[in-house]
Amino acid sequence: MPTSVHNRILRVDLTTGRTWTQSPGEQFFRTYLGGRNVIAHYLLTEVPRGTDALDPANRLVFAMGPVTGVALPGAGRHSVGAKSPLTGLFGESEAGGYWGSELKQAGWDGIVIEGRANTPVYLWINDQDVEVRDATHLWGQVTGPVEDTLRTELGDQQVRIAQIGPAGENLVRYACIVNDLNEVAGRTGMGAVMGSKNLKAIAVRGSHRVPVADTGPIKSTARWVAHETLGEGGVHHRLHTWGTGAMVRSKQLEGHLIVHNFRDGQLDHATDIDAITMQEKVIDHMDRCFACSVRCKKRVKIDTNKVRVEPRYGGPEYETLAAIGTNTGVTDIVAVCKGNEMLNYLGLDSISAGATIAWAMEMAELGYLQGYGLDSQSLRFGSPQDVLDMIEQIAYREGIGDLLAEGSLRAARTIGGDAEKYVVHVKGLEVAMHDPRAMKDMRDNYPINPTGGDHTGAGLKRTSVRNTVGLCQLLQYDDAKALELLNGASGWDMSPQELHEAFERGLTMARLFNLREGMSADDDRLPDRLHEPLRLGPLKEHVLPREDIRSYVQSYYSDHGWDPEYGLPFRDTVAHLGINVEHLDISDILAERPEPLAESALPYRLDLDSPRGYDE
Amino acid sequence: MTSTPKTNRRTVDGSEIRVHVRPYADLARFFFRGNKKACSVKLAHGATAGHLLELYGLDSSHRLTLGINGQLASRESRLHDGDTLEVLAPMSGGFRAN
Repeated sequence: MPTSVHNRILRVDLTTGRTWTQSPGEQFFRTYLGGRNVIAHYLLTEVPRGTDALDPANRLVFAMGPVTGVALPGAGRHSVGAKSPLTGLFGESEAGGYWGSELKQAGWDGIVIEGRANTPVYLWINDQDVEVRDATHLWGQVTGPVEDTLRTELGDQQVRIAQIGPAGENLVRYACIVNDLNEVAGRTGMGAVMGSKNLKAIAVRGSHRVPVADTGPIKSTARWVAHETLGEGGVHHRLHTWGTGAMVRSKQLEGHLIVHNFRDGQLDHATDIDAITMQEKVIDHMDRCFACSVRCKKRVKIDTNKVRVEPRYGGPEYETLAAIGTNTGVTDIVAVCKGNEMLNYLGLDSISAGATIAWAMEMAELGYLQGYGLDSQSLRFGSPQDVLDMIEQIAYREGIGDLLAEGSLRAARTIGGDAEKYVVHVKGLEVAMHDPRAMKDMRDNYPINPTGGDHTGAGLKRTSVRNTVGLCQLLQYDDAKALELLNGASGWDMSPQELHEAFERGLTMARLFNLREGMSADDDRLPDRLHEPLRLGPLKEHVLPREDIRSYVQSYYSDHGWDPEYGLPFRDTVAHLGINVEHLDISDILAERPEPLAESALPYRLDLDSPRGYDE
Repeated sequence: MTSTPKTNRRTVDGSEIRVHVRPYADLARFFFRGNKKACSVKLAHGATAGHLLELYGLDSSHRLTLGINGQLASRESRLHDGDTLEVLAPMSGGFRAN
């Protein structure tokens, strides 16, 4: 029977230059699916405890999902993971575009990279042929020219490229991996891991359609998206028309826009940079990921005497609009578009960069940066030029950029005093641009997300299922649809229970990795700033109590079969999820129940009748 | 002779008011066609935002964020002559909020 799972993972050792194929078997993929779960498997089994994230022994994992590369809207997703140089914990970020699909079309389910090349190299994957090639001529260049050079060098303009920019080369701890110049595996510093291996780029060309077992559900779903959801009133109409970022106005009114390092919930002229305004003023056209008719990707074009922004670097999505826009007090749409372009050609995570700059602005305001020659006049909220200057300085580690390139938490600890209390982070990852003081989903997500202050909900079932299957979260597919598409693509007859257990398995594995690397229950919390009331707006009297978060977190531990006090997975949870602990060096972080529970009594068993059960 | 306090909100003739409506994104389709951005609506004195919305088919089953003259409002908020009512859909960025 045809299947979308190739049972082929490309292994690369950059120290020796050796490449080989690993075929772990169909059961491996059925157990872990893809994405986050596959990353958790390799980090737990192959990265020794205490390994530095920039050490050659760290693994950089590119994990597709079983559905990635299938001709279906939303099937253009892949994940990248490693031990994070920013947090020292589980690092993972998702990206869209075409690169992941191209890798599946080349016949690979993933890539695991270890070691470090002596000089800069790039990988060339041409279907099943793999080469490690010299990249010294590319090192130091920004992403656009690298893509042009490689496509010319390889003689094929259809080659898809995932690469790092100067930020990754300079080991900026939140450097990202950019594919297709506009799609980004942004969070947790995967670009720095790639840079630490002297790996500049991975170029891929795949010449085979990804086979599927049953085309029926795939085709019918694709038709439904294209013909019934994009028009006015359709569930994807807003995304299709404006992309993300059309909610700046509603957040402004409701009073939870991210402003001035999470201090204020409203900002004058904020609507000057929302997606609706963008469409009127700067959008050249909307573009898409692989096989997706929703086309929610902005392409911005600005061409004036003073500023030029190229469409090929895309356009700011919501997180970028907020991170380098409202959070720094900037409402200049041209500056935000230019900043987005710079982030994509330098290879920096927009959320961490914007949040770190906003924190630095508050530090300058309070006088903490006088030792660096900066005060409130030289690094100011509301100054577009200061934001653009900081982006460049961070990428090249120049001036104060060298300090800020370490991330806001490390920078605060270097400054000392009480600078750390102004950092808005969870587990060292700067919090994304959604305020948990107003949004329940974020209140539930941020404290327990394995990667930290990431808005993509890794600790929550809905988003984790889509991540591991290889589907975009923005498409309105419920769990039943996701399962139908998974089974249709793979040929499996996976049940809702089995899919649910795959989510639980990956969550517990990521938890085990984090605990092994030194995280504790004390890290499952929100930062001080998010327990302060906002200074402005309708929510300025509202305080999020710490005890509410603690109570929720303990309940979360119990729900997932972990001890309710410290969040250590119980031994019977790990056993029932099929996680083989024998060689994992985790015996000191498993908890023992006073009385083992029967499998049927385990708290994380799927209950189709419960509110938190199957998402219909 | 007593003086009448000045106010920005005046009643046209005591029986009706005129309100400007700015619906955003795809909510515009409930109010008008084409590229318009706003429209003007006459309502009875004492009308609320909810009354106006129901006139255009946006009953309480539609989850909306409302603003009156730039301030957060609700369906129960009373409208006055000359008010601008913003009608938006609450929406999140890269994450689907409950």
